[in-house]
This record gives sequence, structure tokens and C-alpha cells, in this order.
Amino acid sequence: MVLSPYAVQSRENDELKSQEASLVDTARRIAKDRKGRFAVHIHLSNLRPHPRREQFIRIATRTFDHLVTRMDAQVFLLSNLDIMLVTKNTRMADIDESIYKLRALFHEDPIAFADPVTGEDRFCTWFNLLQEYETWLRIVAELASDERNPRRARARKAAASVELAGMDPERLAHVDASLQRLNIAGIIRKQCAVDMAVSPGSARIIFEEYTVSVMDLQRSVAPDVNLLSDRWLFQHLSLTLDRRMLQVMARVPLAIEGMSLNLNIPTVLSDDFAAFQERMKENEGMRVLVELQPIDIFADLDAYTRARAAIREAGFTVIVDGINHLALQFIDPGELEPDIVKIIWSNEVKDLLIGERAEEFAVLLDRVGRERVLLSRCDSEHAVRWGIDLGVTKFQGRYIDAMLGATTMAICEKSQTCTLQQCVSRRSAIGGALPRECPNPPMLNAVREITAPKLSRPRRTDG
Amino acid sequence: MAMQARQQQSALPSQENLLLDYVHRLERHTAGRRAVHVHVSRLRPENRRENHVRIATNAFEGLVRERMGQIFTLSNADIFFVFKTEAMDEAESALVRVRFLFSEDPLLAKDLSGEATDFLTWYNIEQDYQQVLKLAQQFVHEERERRVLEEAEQAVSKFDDRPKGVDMTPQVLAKVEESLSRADLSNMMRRQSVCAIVGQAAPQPVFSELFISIADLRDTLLPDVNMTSSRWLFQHLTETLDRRMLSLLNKNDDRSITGDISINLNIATLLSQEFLNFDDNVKAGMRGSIVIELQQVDIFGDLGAYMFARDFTHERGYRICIDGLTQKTLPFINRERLGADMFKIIWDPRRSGETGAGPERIREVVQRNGAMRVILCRCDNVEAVEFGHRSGIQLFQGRYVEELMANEMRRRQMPGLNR
Repeated sequence: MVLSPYAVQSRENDELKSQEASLVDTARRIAKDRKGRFAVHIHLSNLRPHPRREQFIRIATRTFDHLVTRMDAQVFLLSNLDIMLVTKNTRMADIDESIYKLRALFHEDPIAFADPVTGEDRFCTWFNLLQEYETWLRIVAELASDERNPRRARARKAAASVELAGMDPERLAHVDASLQRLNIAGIIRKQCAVDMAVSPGSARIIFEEYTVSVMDLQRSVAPDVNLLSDRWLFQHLSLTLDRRMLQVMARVPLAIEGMSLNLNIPTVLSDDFAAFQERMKENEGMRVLVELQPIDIFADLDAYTRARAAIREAGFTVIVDGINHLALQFIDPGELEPDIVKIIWSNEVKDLLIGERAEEFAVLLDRVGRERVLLSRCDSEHAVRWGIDLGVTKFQGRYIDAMLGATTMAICEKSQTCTLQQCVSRRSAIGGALPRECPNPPMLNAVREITAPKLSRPRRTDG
Repeated sequence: MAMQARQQQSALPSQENLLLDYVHRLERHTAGRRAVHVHVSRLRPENRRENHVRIATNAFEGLVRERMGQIFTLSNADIFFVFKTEAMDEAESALVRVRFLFSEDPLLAKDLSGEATDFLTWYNIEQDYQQVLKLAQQFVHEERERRVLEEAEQAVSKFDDRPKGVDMTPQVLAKVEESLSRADLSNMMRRQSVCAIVGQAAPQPVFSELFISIADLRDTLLPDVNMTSSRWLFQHLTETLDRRMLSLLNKNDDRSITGDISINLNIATLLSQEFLNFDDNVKAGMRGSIVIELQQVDIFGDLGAYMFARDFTHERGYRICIDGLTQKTLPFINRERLGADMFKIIWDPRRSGETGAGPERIREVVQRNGAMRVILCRCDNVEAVEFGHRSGIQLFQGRYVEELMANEMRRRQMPGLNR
């Protein structure tokens, strides 16, 4: 953001004016010339959060290019990411077509379609300015005052000030070097996965997954760089992370059920993995699970096949991780023949059970085998229930963490001074200060099973 | 070391050859002999590792020592045991041990008859001699094919592993990108045609791919660096090249962007300002003649971004081609669902001469999608085109295709030679 001296001098310069202010200007200007004018308010601020939402929306405004160039139409991209389109004598069909295209771009989002119950269009609101100018003006004023609201402005400023530098090769080299020196044990977190098929009525821990939190890593090695801003460079960094992880994990005292690690395929095929395997032999009977990601798998399927063989050769278990609602539509994870498939629970996955996709999804689950499915990121009881309804028995996520914490606190005699949040986060750490805060350390990891949610629930189909 | 061991091994006659030899010699001694074929290869991969097979063959050791039978361990891990009828009981009990060893495998776990007919095939040599002979010949043939394939694979991997300078590291990448920003890439821009080749007819260009030659880039900028040694760093480099490519295309719009073209881009590039600038400069009517090629690794890396970029570029009028598919990844790609207009399969020289399941699988894909949507690329020799034709493919790209086009051009320029 370098402003030219010229721009600073001319305060009236439109470039410097916010889109809201320009919109207010336009609204004023057209007050006496409303015939043939329509405004369309497109509620993109209601889209579900997505890391690249803003970028998508900026690109999406291109859909109106031809209306702007060929006709007297104006597009305002507001700071809350809503779009306001103001037209003059433009054919309705042309406006409709552009909006349809815009809708199509966001078709994965529920607001792209009318509310199934009320039939209300949640995507956009039309105003015939000849009759509805007053109503529209009120909305314009609201949007503008929102933008000027000092509290909002502060929040925006705060967001801007923490704006981190993007990753580039030079910074990667630096981060890579710091990571070599970092004691990563302090930022490793663990999370349990449970299975309800082991013993009736209870959900028992089947393994603990060990991961490095990217946010913690960023704070430790590069507080001013967004490690995730470049996908490819992050992938490269994760290879270094793998090596550090293997070094540390071969030394950590582990839970009896087994430990799961996220690794890159080249790591599995490297000497580091062979050395890790040697060390694990001393830890006899220790179950190890290796989680592989689709991006890595599809980068080289032959390498995946070799890695899968190497993992099994070592007596370890193969998990295909990161299967989200989109992947489920394009990939048949069963074809990858892993031992466990991790499906990421989300509201979108839930949508797979609606309409024609439902049957397809059931067939897919049959092919993978429900006993091989693990539903991850279960944040609520709702998620677990959903899985149970489908015949899934393995779960992981914050809801399970909370259940383990609650069960621990119920039987721990020193739990009066703790909160559930504390109990859960202390349990998730493997080193550092957190576990030491526990007033009753022997109890911290003692609970290995929880009462399973009841299975005898009638199948419910969402509308 | 491993190579040496293998060479010594292949100098010895294979078990398949020994078996065939043995069967020939049996011709006059068929009476009172039986054989059993143990289909270890039908078990799950985790159950047919070397030590499993070794334990299984040990079960027959006693019989072999007493000269009651001969055992052959085939290269696909199957066991073929020929024995004298009088040792039937001992053979059966050895087989019980083998079946017990693999009893966890679904092939045997599901066997309710107790006969394990999927796992064991019995032969009475006296009655079934011709059948056994044919089988032994087939084993020899299959083993030879497997070995050829293995050697081809080794040759390919040897080729790939050839050291080509120092490895790419973040520091080196930073340097490369720094010098890239100053380099003139226009003379590294190359063009390669995608052609329709039907039967014996001359190749017909359909569109041409524009790309920056990585080999030239390496020779000019950093001759000692193996640019592709790190997949992800290279992928990052291609994003930088994307932007340079787009600005080159913006500059000389009229001359090089004539006819239908394709460019290989990252999805992140499609969502960048540079692409929007490019899009501004392309005449609306021309977008339909531009194919945007996306790498499958990029697509599976972020399906959400792919779907958005796809819908956006389609809406602008471009066509999408998924690049970098192999015969292995093909079953995972549902073109219609991915919403791409075409896709490119990389020719794999190890498949040359292959008939049967491989081409059949591709043929099915071609039939489902239409011949104008499937391209076989990196065709370096005539075998590639022949393989493609066996699979129903009609669109080809690669050095061999360029050669064919050049020949065709010469012929046209010298019509006298044609007669």
C-alpha cells in the first residue's frame, strides 16, 4: 500500500474513498433520477467462512464486468464483502443472468439457494428504486454507518496490523533453519481417537494422534510470517517438520493404545523413517499409525503404494487422512486400500445425506467398509450421533476430548479447582508447562474410555 | 549391491524354467504322480511376503528330502508341488499347515467348503498331463513378461535418478527466482502441438501448448541445479513462471496467440491479479480457443479452490484440461464430476506392447468421455501412438508427434517426392 503524493493531495480522489462512501454519493446523485433503476444487494457477507473467501469474492465481481462496461451499471464491493449493484435501464434478463452466474460460483454454499422452508432468497435482495428508494436508502445508510463505526474500524485496523508477511523461499530457508533448532516437544499436541465397537456401551481409546499446531509453530519460529500463505512452500516445510517429529516421538513415553503420526510420503520412504522404525522395535508391541494426506497421495500414486507397503512391512497401520466433503464427491478412498479412512465431519458432509447424493454416499461407505471409517473433527454430540446413525464407530474431535475431560473430572478428587477447558488442554500437551498445572497428575491421562452415546436411536433423515 | 544380487539371480534358470524342464521329463513317468498348485498370489499382499512364502515351502521340506516330491516357488509367490501318490497323506498334512498359516486371509477365512478350491488346484499328472504342460509353459511366459517389465521399470528409475546437479533448496530457489525476475524468458517459450492422429492419416493439429522450457531455463540460469529434485519447491517455481508466462502473452498478443492454444497454470494463478489482467487483454471471442491446463496434484490439493477457479474460468469462456494423469490415477478421475473439458494421460513407455486390461481400461474412459476429450501426451515414439490407437485415443502430443508433423511439412513442400 504505497500511496503516491498525488493521491494524498487530492482528498477527493475516488480511489481513496471507501466503496460505502461512493455508494452513498451515488444514492444521493440518483435520488431525482430513479426511473428505470434497480439495485441488487448481494449478501456475500453471509457466505460461510473460507480461507480465501475475500479473494473469491473479488474475482466474483468480474461477473458484472459486461454490465458495467456496456451499460450504465455500477458495482460496489463493500468492506463487509457484500456487493451492491446499481443499474439504469439494464434489461432484467441481463442482470438475472449475471447473478445466476455469481450464484453458480458459490453453489457449494447453502445461501446460494433459496431457503428450503420459507422459499426466501438468501443470496440477494432486489429493489425497484422508483418505488423502494426509501427502503434501499436506509440499507445503504446502515452499510455506510457500519463501515464508519469506530469499533468496527478498530477491529479492522487490528486485523490489518496483525497482517503477516507472506511466505517466500527466503523466509522458508530461515524458518527451516529455526525449526532445526527448535525443541518441538513443547508444541506437540495429542488427541485421542475412540472406538465404540471394542466393548459394548463404551467408547475406548484406540490411539492418540500427535500433531504440531501450526499456530504454535508460527509463534515459535516466525511470528511475523504466515506459514500457510503458500501451499507449496508449506508442504516443503512439513518435510522438515516430519524429521523433527520422528526424532522426538521415538523418545516420548507413549500411551499403550498406539500413536498416530501425520507424515509425508517421501518421509515414509526415507532413512529417517527406517531409523524411527528401528527405535520403535525397542518399544515392543507399540502400535504406530501413519496418516497420509490426499495432496501427497495424488502427487505420486506409485510412491503412495510403496509407502503403504513400507508402513505395513513395519507392522504399522495406514490411515488416509483429510477426506472432506469435497473429496468424498471425487475420490473413492476405498480404492486407496488403507486400513483406516478419516472423514472430516462438517455441516457440508451432513449435506451429503440429502437427496440423490445420499445413496451414493451409502454405497461409498459400503465400499470403504464402515469398520474402516473414522469420523474426525467431531465438535458436537450432533456430529457423533450423525456418525452412529451411519454405522460408524470410530470418532475423534473436540467433543470426544470434552467427554474424556468430563469423565476424568467426575472421578478426580482434586477436580474442584479446575475447569473442563483446563483439564482438556493439559491432557493434550506432552511437555511444557501445561501438564504441570494439573493438581492430580496421575489422573490426567488415566481415563481410557467413556460411556458411548446410545445407539438405539431411530434413523432420522434431514429435510 | 542389490543390483548385483539380482543379476546373479537372473543368470540362474528361473523356477518357472526348472518346472517346465521337470514337466518335460515327467512325460514318461506320469503314472502315480499328483501336483498341487498353491495360489499364494491370490492372498492379500500383506499375507504373501517373502517370509510367509518361505514358511509355507518349509512345510514340504520333509517330503522333498525323502524324494517324494519336488517343489517350485514361482516368481509370483505361487507354489507348485509335484509328488508321488503314495505320499498323498503327508502332502495333505503339509497343506493343512499352509492353510492354517494363511487362515486369516479372506480367501481362506470365507472358505466354507473346507476344500479351499480358490487356494488350491489339484492335478492328476497321468490324466491331466497336457494341461499341466500348458500351465508350466504359461508360467515361463508370464515370468518372462514380469522380468521385462521389472527391467524396464529399473531402467526408467535409473534414468530418473540420474544425478543432475545439486538439489533444490529454499536458498537456491530464492536465487533462481531472483535471477528469473531479470531474465528475458521470451526466447525460452516453446510450442508443442496436440494433434489428431487417426489411422495412417497425417497428424492434424488441434491446438498447441505454450510453455517455458525448463531445460532451457536450467541451462541459462543455474546449470548445476536439479530443479525438479524437490516437488514442492518446483511447484512454487511454476507459479512464478505462470506469472511471467501471462505477462509474455499479454505483450505479444497478436503473433503468438494465434489459433487455439493451451497454457499450463496453477490454480492459485487463476485466482490472481495477473490472470485477471491477462483476461482483460484477451478478446472475448478468443477465450473459447484457450485451454487452461491444470495439474491433478493442484486439484486434489484444494478441491474447493479448484471448483471455484473452474467455474470462474468456464464462465469467462475458457476450457479446462486436467494434466498429469497416469493409468494409475485414471480410475480416480471422474471428468464429468470434476467438470473438466478434457484430460491428458502421460504415456508410460513401460506399457508399450501391452494388450488386454491396460488399453481396455483407457478405451472405456475414451468411450465414456468421447475421443476429442482424451489426449495421450509425452509420446516419444511410434509405440506410444500404437498403444493409443489400441486404446481408442485419437489425440496425441509429444516429440514423436512433432516429428510426424515436420515430416508432413517437408512432404508438402516437396510435392515431387510424393508421386
